[in-house]
Amino acid sequence: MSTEKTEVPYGTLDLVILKTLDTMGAMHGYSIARRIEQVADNLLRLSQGSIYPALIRLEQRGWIRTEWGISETNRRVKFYSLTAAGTRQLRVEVANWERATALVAKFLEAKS
Amino acid sequence: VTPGRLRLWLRSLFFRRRLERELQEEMSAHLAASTERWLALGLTPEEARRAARREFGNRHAIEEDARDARGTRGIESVIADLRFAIRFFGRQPFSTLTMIAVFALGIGVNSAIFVFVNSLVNSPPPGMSRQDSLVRIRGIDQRRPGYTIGREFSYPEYREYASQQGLFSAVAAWTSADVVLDVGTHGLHAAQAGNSEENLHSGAATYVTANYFQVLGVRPILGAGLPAVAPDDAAAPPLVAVISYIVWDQYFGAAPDVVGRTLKVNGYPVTIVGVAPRRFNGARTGGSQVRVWLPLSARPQLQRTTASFLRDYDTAILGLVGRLHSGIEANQTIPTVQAIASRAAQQAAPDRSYALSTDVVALVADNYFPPSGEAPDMVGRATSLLIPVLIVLITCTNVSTLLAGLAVARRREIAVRLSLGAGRRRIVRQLVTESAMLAFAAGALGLFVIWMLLRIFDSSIPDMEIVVDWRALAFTSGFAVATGIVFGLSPALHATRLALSDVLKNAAGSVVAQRSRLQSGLVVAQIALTQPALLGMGALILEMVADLGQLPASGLADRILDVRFNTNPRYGAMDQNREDTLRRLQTRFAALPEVVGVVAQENSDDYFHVLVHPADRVAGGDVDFDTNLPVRAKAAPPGYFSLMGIPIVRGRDFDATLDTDHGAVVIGADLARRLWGTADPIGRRFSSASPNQRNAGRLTVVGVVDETKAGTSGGNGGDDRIFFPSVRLTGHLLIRTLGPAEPVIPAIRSAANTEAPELPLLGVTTLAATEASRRRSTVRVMTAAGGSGALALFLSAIGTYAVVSFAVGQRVREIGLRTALGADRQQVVRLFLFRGLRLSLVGLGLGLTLSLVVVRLLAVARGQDVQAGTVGLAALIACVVTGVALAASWIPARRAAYIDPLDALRTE
Repeated sequence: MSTEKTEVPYGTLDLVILKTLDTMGAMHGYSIARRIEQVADNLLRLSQGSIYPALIRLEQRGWIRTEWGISETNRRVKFYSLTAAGTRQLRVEVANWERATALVAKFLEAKS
Repeated sequence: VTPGRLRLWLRSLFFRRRLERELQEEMSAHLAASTERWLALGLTPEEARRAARREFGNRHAIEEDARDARGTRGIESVIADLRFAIRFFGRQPFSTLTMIAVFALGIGVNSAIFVFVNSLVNSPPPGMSRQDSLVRIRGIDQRRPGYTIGREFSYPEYREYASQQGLFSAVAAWTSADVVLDVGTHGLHAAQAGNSEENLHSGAATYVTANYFQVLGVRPILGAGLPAVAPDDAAAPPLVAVISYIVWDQYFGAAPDVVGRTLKVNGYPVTIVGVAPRRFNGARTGGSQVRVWLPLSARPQLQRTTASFLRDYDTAILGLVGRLHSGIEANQTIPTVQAIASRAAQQAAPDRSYALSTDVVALVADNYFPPSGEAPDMVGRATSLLIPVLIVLITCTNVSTLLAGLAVARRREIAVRLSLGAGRRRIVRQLVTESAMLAFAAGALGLFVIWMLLRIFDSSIPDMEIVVDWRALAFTSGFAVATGIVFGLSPALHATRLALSDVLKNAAGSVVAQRSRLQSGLVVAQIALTQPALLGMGALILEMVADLGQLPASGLADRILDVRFNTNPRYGAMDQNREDTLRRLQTRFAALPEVVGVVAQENSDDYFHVLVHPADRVAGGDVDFDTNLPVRAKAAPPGYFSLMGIPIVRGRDFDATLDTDHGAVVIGADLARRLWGTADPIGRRFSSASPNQRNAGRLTVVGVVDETKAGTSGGNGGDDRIFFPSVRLTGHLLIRTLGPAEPVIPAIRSAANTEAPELPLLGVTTLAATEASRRRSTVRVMTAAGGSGALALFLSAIGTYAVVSFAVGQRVREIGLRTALGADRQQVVRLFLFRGLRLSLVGLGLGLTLSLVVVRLLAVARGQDVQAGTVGLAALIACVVTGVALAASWIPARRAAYIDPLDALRTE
């Protein structure tokens, strides 16, 4: 285990999942988790299981929908995809995130 | 919350198991896929599985998070609590039923009061269904500022409302009168009586516009109903009638072919065209149920009056109901109807500015007249609310005692759960859920019992339709759950405040059970509250017993008729003409073969003070002659004493030939005895300071009567009574008959109708009937009051019993030990009895204080001083309550004494 790995920043898992589904289309739980790990270049410490509560929460809010299907390894799994509301929500969250990071960045760049 | 999200939430709630299963399946698939990847990377199967699990994280924690994510946690735990409560109560059905019954009593009393008041305020008149568009148009007369009285409408004013087509789709009008019905030989009674031609009954007629039934939404159960004829149609009016259900049932034997037959109304044959539904008695409550509905145009002929009321603005006799156009609210009509009212006032009396007005309100049973605008009697209201509130408090303390006992009995369960890590909040919530559920069940039971009782007794309440509607349901369930929560909370908090070690030590048997202070407090509260409740009831009963005492049963009462005409100036001034009419009526009645005598009664029962003339003061009386003496005055017309069967024990009656026997009075024997002892009272003098001119000045006693020996109670058999001579003509007649007076009533009505058809006859009753109905209503109220008192006493007995029982239950081991060590049974009984006694005494002290407050309140409500009788009653009640409390603790105490030491020590 590398000590370089960081935790998923608080509250960003939802954003990460929405963005993943937006880029990749319908996916099942395992491939979502793998995709996040790959994108993070193995620098992220993620309990893969923790995406499931997040997926339930997103579904309850109506941002993603589920469908049963067959995975590439021939298992019955749920496929998740974005709804129209989810696409809108993603735009809002991305904008929020960018504003927040830009703000923090400004503070960090500020010189005496 | 959008519908879609609500749907998902509900899905999470109702398909929880399926969702959990699906999540399991998903996670297994995930782990399998992950394992495969590690295998492909060259790990052994065992290593691969472990790596996959490590990568996945703590499966149980994730499941918990998933449950939280669904957002149904709170409600799920409530459901779990309810399930647990049902199982818990199911295990002990007997004590559960007891608790529900005790609770149901208290909630039921309040629900019953609510149902009654709600029906009074919200229900339509009997026999009708509630309809939103149906309104009453009410006349208001505000001639006196700050005080309103109802008024009725003239026919021209009615026409104006009816012509407001934009507001009302229809307006109907009616007016009622007392009539004599002759159901002739059709009647059952006639057939039994041997085919007599006449079969007279007194009843009421309601003269209505043709659209009356249609507007009220009432359809005759037989026949086509009244024909559509305008009241002012010049042609001869059709003499047709819709008869009430009671008339149909009682006088026509509910014959299915009654339509088309005739009956006589005030002597005129009228054809029956319909039968009204059961219980329907018109849009105004009260009045005879023996009723016929006739066209308004038939009124002049049947009531022997003119049709001028159809034109005059100042003959206001009509009541109105209207049906609003759809989309129109009652208050939207107000400006228009008020404008009509002021126009009508101008028409009726152009020279005076009458403050007449009109309002429009939903039609309910009891709102024929507008509220008077008088300030409500707050003390009276508070007193009448006191009893139900006390009963609820007593019940609630009772249930709280039971719940507390329950919680104490479960303290080991609770302690174990607490020690296993259950949150205190969680356990409190569960206990409160249990008590709320209990209360809810009790509320349902109470309401069900009320509904059953109404089903059984509804027809005995003719003037109002008592309904259990959604308001009653909402009130009862809200009230039940609220009391359940409020009174379940404190035992729950109390029970969870235990230290585990205490409980387990207790179980080990070394420590005597910590007695619940809360329970004791509740018993004290109960004993304290029962006393004022009983006192209020007792004072009521005492008062009524006193009233009943003033109503001696009498042999003559059924031979005296009380006949009242309405001589209100509204129906014509008291002029020469009217006096002639009254005199003619008296003569006419006196001429009837069954009648012995007629006197005109003056309603002048007033109180004033007299002072005995100094020369006429004698030793021997037991009054203080120097102070004014309160007396009650009554006017006695010539012949009054003999008619009422009141014997003159000394002196003489008033001289009927003098127009007034000036200054002469007749006094009651009791007053004579008190004033002058055995000395002769005749010729002795008073002076009076009566506000009534007629009674003022020098008065001389000419006779003494003994009302207690009277054949009747002449109203009140008073002791301090002074009679004045009276020759005034009034519309209130007393008629003595030869035999029983009841059968003479139709003849009296018929005579009144032919002699003075224009004078409204308010009523004809026998004194016996009046007395009987007074007695009946007194007995009914007394039964109700006694019942409530018994209920309160019973409830507090249960409470005390429960507490001492629980105390015994907690100390079984201790008792066993004591008995084993040689304590005798008397000592054990005394141990618990003293505990009951101590609680009772504390309750007694508090209760007496409360009782004194009630005594004061009662006195204030009646505007009297505190009466010695009430104080005595309070003392008596205190004794009874203490006695009952002791008895209730004696039973479990005795049971404790018979505990077998071996059994007691073997438990646990």
